[in-house]
Amino acid sequence: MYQIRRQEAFLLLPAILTLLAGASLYYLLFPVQENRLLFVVAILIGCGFYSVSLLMGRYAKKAEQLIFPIMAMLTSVGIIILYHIDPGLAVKQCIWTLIGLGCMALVIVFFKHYYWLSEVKYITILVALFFLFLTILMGDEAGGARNWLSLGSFRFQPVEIVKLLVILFAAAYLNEHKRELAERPGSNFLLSEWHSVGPILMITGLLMVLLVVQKDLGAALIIFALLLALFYIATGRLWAVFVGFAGFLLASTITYFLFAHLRARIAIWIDPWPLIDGAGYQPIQSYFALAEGGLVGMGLGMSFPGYIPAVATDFIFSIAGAELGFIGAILLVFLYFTISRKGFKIAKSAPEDFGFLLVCGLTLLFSIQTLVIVGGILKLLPLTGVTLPFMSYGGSSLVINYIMLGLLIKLSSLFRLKEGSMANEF
Amino acid sequence: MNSNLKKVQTVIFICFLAIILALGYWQILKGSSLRLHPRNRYEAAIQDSIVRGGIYDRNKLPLAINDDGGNRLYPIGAPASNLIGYHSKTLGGAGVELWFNQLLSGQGGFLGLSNSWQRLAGTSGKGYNLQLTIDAELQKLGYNLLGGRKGAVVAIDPSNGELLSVISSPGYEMEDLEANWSNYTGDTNKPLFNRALSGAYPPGSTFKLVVGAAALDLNLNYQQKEFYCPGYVEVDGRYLSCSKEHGKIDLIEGLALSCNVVFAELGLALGGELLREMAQSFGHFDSPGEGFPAKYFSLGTPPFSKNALAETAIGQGQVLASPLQMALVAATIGNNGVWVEPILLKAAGSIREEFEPLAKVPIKRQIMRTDTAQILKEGMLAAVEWGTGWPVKLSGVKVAGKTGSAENPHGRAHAWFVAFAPVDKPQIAIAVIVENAGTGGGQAAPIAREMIKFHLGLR
Repeated sequence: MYQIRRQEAFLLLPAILTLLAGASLYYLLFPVQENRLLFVVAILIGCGFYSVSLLMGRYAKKAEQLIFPIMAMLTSVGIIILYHIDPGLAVKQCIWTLIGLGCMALVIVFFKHYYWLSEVKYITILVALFFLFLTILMGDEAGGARNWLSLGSFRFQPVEIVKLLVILFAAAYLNEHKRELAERPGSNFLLSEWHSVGPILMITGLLMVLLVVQKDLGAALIIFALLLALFYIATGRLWAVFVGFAGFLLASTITYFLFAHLRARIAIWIDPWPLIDGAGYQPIQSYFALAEGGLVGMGLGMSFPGYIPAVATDFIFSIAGAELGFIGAILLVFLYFTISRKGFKIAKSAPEDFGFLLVCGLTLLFSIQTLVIVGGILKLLPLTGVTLPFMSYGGSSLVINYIMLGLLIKLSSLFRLKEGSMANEF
Repeated sequence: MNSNLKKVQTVIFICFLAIILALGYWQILKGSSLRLHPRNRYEAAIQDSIVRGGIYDRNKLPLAINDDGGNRLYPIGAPASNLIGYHSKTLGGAGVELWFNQLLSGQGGFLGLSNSWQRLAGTSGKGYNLQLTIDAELQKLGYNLLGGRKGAVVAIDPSNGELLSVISSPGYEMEDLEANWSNYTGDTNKPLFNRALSGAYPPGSTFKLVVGAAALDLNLNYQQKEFYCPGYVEVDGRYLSCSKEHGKIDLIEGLALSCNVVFAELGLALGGELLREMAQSFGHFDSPGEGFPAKYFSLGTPPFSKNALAETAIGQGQVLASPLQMALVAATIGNNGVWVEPILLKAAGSIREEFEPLAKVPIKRQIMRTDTAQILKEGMLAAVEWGTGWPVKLSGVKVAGKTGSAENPHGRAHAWFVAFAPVDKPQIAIAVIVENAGTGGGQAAPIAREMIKFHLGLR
């Protein structure tokens, strides 16, 4: 029995109107045959949004209704900005959006139990490590990092999947060992619980080494912060967070001296201006774009995205800031924050701890990834080339984000159905 | 675990807050300095995508236009160089090209909207064509009359404030400015400096018009008062000399013969405050609506000693004025005491040769009594008819004028002449200065004469 989710259906409208407005704008500007395709694509994606919403009305009746419209809105804004940067990329992004929606629909329809995920945690992490090894052995290099895998003509960034797998593992592992790891009066940290701490410490270390070898420092930073936060949520050991942080600083220092490309990143973070003709060019062009946006922005499609290298992936937020201004950028940040807040709210509704940790992990990954790239663009952190969820161009990132938040939404429905019952049955 | 999550949530909330603060830092706080950063290509790119508007004179003669290759041509050349100025990526901007850049590059109004649209479509937009109040022929005539000497001429229509010519000499060739830049900046004659609007000269005896206005506005009976000129005046033990011993003399005769004694005594009688008030009312006391920079009277800092006051009253000492300012003094007297805001922009249009008059009500203000203006007119007429301003005399039209020879530390006196004509219904008011040239009547008045003659169409 299908059931219309009124709030969600209503909130999806702005996203679709955004797409249609973007299509009209570009068709009016360049009234060529190909640009009629934009309307088709906009309508297709709109149908995709509503199909998924309708499916949720059947398979995830009690699911949270705000997150999906926000995802749709961010995707639409991203696509419109991409039209302006490179229409070819925009079309590809539209196709990726449809694939992402398809994957999300599969999650909504077929993912009926979740607890089994905790039973296969070692398989999960082995798959993750396998992907990383494979990337190191066979990966292609792009933008300074060796983090692409090619399967025939199909290229993807395995690290996006690895992030999800790490969450699955960490949530399961921390759920299983939370009692030994939790802070107890008089417990002697690290020694008495060595058998509990050891494996996760080793796996974290291994992940970091593999990511650093790939020179994917952004992913390393995100996964480390994610694991640390999840560890703290599960155990409440502030001490461990400090030790972990100190360890991270130490490891970063060593990496700093080992890798020239990290040294360059840090140098442009501290002061990009002397390097304006070299490594500092990209961030400085992004500051100019943000400044040009001012309070109300230059207007959608009015900026000069050609000035910023890698604008479609890492720096799409700068273009959003230039075209939509301070006000528009704040609204975008607010949308991201709302997903984060809703995610944690869903976590609190979990009937047992694995679900709780799993949703915490998914929400943390989404939030940390957003903060790391936007913080990098705004010079709060060193720049690392990671994608901004839903807005950046990139198939792997877009699809995996649809899968992850689809999972989150489905879990919110499962949690409500199973409330009060024994969760371990699943 | 819930309480741990809350702490993590707080940290994430703070991080998002930091993001918003950082956004504010880059977009608002640092916004304007980054927009003006020399390496920022956005502003230049916006302007590059626009075909710059042309600049035309009041008769639609081209002063600045673009050729087919996108180069900026200045058909008028050096005579209007300081007025028209330049707009260059490397050198910055000056003159009309700078002051009205927003219009010329089509950033405001309806064209601004249409240009954003064009830019989006990838086609080039266009800027407004501007029609100035300047008369190119009069401008060239004045420049040639100065003949390379250092000096300036400002001519204005007294009835509506339209500037007919704004001449600064020497000028420069605008078309190969970048190649010759270092020659111009190194030249001691300062060809890049707009003397007409920004020059600060002692006004000499032309300032006596302001003193006379202040005195008559205070009390019209000053017209009848009889002064005695023994050829000098003693103020607190210091002697201020006069050009000759005029004997018994009244105000109108004092203007005609430019008697220092009359005006030194008037200045002492009026005091610094009244003089300052009158001088300032000739300046730009309203917000600069027209949008070009100009220097107005400055009188030094009060309180004035008696000596300083007497010196100020004859246009020496600390008092300084620009040629534009002195042209405004003449225009206001010619206009029966009504000060009119000077304007440079007559009309703008987005299509070549079609201009829409700018809907702007000129600022006008009665700054002295009509009777005061009438008496000063008589004095200026007398100066031309039988006084120091005789070289400006024209047959068939009555000209009112006032000479000035301003002593200065750079050598010979600056020759000043201010005038308007015809006396009854002035069509042109003019101020001429030739630096270190000698007497106003000898050096500056002939230039004024030729320009008045040209403007009134006399043969």
